[in-house]
Amino acid sequence: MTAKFGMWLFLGSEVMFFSGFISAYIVLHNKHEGSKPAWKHTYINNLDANHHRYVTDDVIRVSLTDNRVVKGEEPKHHEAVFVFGQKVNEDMELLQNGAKLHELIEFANGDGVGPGGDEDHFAGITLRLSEVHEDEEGHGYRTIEVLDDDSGEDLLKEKAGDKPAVALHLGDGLVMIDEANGKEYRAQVNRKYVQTGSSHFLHGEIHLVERSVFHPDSRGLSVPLAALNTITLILSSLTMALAIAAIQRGDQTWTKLHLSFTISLACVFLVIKAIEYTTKFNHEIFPSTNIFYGSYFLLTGFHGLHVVAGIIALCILLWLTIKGKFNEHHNGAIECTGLYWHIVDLVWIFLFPMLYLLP
Amino acid sequence: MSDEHHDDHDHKPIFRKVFIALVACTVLTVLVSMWNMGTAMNLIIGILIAIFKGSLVGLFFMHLYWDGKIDKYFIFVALLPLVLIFIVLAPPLLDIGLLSQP
Repeated sequence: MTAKFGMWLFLGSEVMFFSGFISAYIVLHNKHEGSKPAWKHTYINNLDANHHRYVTDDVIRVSLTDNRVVKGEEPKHHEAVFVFGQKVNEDMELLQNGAKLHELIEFANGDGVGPGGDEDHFAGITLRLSEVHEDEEGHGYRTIEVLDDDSGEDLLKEKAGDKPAVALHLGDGLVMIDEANGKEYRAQVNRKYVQTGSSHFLHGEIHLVERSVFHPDSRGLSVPLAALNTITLILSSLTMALAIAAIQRGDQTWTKLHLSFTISLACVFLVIKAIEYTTKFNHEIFPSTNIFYGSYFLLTGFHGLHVVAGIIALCILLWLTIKGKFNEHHNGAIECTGLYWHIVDLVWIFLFPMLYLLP
Repeated sequence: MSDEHHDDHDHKPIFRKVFIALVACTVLTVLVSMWNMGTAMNLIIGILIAIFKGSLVGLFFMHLYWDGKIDKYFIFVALLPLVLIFIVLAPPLLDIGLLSQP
């Protein structure tokens, strides 16, 4: 009885520990809630007039289409979106002090703007791309100049004042992360090659969506894997409960079997978790990437440590059971460890919808 | 540690039913989350299902349903902080529910 009370006291502090984390997570999530279209532009671009400049609300977007299109092939297409330190709309400021642009997605076409990525000429415009610089965090970026060939003036500086223009390589997707405000901006380009008679048109849409880093699409977590993990842990909770029932009957064989099942399922959980982590690391996503991943790795990491601790405890129990230390009268250790294991399961039951399913 | 007279009860069928209920609830959680009702609503539904699942785990897997009175008091040790946390959480929850919804 004393041992069990001690265990409940410990579980109480565990509940507080994780409730604190989960509460902080919910508060952060709510602070960064939401997703809204920030800007959308539809253009129809005749391939002969192969540049398009769009200026609105102090935001400049330039899309450039290579006119070396072979009929019947997808147009070779370069696009860039430039957003400067001006307001995109009333309540949102993009790229002002502290906000950073990270080039996350390479040109879909692979070769960037022109061979070597240095300079390219389109009708009346020279596009000049700098070497890759590194910002203070080691992220690569390039500055870009768009020069009018006739007047020689920089078409972007004209609008952007003296701020350096940051080039965003835009393939099929573009991500900008505004770390200061926990938001990301994702541009999606839908384009279609249209032929009407002898004319070729490129019809495209650029959507710029402002999105919280907590948005499901920004999180990019695998719900099926996490759901599988949830079921794995629930199943391990079942086998743990059955192990306790077995030892209370004095059934040594089933106790050992159920303890082994529990340990195996806990290991399966960790393996799936490791797959999830590795996927993130391979995409260069780390706890420092943004506030969501900070919370995600913190919460799942601490939970994972609890699973590891549980596995160690269960292995000790299994070993002691094999040595015949437990019977129907003496099994408090298994019962208390069972309580701990159920709490580990319970915590995950709360973490799963919080981290993976919240809109 | 349970009272001796509970030991001859076979809880296995109940454990299996609880397990099936938990899996069903997990599926339900995923299905409900596909239906975006606004963060506040999804959060509340997610938490309610989680509390229901947690209650199943607590009552049956953790034996609280069968345990004696003294054991039942123990759970307050664990639940009291949870209640406090929810009191702390109430303002931000109300805030997203009532104020920030467009």
